[in-house]
Amino acid sequence: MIILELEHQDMENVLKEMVHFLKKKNKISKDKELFEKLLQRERLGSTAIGDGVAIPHCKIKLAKNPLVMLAVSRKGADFNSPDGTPSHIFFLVVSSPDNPSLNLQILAAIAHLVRKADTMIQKILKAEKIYAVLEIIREEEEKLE
Amino acid sequence: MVTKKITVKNKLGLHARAAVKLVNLANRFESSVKIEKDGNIIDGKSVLGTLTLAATKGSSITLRIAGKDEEIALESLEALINDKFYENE
Repeated sequence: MIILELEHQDMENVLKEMVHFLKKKNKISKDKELFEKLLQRERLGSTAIGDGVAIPHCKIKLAKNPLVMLAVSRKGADFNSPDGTPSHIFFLVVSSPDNPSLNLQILAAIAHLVRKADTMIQKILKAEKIYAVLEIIREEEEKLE
Repeated sequence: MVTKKITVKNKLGLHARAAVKLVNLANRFESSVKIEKDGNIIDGKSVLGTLTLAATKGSSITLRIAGKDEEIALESLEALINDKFYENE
């Protein structure tokens, strides 16, 4: 699940856009609750980790499996990143409170992917189609193995 | 260099907010801070690196700290982890 170009450039509306997208795709039902939880989490401390990447996330009781989605902003959005730069790539993670270990594994997988992949971010920002973004991520994942 | 093996005790493990607290604290020291888990060694001053460890509750991590202020850095970081990152559980 990928948003290729986010409309908004402020944290609240970026989160809203991602939540709306999940609702539209029928991946979630409690969109308001999810938005509130994501916002709360950002207020506890930014999920932007620098280098243009943010991992907005929260725990919510889900009927299904954890959800991960990607959103891209070429313009960049202000997520209060510790390095003061705008965030361009957003990995949204929604996981269950009953399984903290799975949550850590998902965060670790994203961290592995992003950590040594400056070029990946640049390539994703140039991609014009969703399948191209998926292909870039797949290539980077193969390099990790 | 000083090293110490520590068990992660908080319920959520070394999750994102805990990782940020750890890294922020590590960055206050001049010494280099490395964290090892299951043979992987990462830079304890990097949030991404710290997250890649996926250190759940009960897992063992080893702090390897080297530099002028290594003793106080180790003491501070150990306290943070043992105090469960000041979380409630």
